[in-house]
Amino acid sequence: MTIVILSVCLAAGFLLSILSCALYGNWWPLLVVFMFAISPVPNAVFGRFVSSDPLADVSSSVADFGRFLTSVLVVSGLGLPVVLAHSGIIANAAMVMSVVGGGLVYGTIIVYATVFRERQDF
Amino acid sequence: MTRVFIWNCQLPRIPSAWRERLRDFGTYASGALFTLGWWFFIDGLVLARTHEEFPVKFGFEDWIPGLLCTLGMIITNSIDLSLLRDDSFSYDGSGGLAGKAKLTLFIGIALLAGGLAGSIAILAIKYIVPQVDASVLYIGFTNVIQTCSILLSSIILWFVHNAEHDNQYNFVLN
Repeated sequence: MTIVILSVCLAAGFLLSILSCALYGNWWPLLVVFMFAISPVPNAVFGRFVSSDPLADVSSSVADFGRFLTSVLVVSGLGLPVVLAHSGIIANAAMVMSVVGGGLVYGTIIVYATVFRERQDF
Repeated sequence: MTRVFIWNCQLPRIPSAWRERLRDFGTYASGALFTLGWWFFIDGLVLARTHEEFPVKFGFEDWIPGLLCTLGMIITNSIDLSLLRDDSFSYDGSGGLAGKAKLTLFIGIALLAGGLAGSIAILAIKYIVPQVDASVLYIGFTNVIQTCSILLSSIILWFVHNAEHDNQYNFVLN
């Protein structure tokens, strides 16, 4: 049941992002969905450095760098369409559609990761 | 070497479950603020380049404050404060580790403050003194917003990473 809802959300996110480009004949907002799609990658990669040894409280600066990069990518996904719309390159409606679409894609990935990490926990 | 300056500030009462996550959330908030600042700058840059007949020349000098602040943020957050504290007894005046760490910290903070000052100077010289109109003045302010948010994000990162894991923050600058 969860998988159905998540995949519908993912598809709706991609649909909104593509519509925001196609309806206006302007393919700049497609960068946004890429940015949201790769934003879980730093935490996934750098997070392995902490999960291997839970007793070690040091050397988590690598994981902190991963969190920093995640935050950078998420805010970039928000900032790029706002800047494009502010300078009049894309329409305001396209900005809203691409932000909502990218947010749906990102939220889907995050929810998927949290739901299925708990199931694998043993 | 004596401690010149001891600063204790009490944290507001927060639940202990949150306090463990404070480091994570602080890092996220710091990254968000840093990126927000740079996007403000990019917004000003794009506006200046797409604007027809833009009255102010937007050159390389507008990039410098943000770059200085970013460099200062990297330098400031690369050293940990425990390095400043531990070494102070064996400090013999011929350049121990604490002295070098202090010098590096000074350079980082100077870069941060210099970037902020430079952005304010650019705002004053290029935008306020020629008395441009309000929509152009916004582009001057994006520079100041950028350096301010990078400074704030640097402070947050520093606070969160150098905090003792108890009720209060202790900063000892000697």
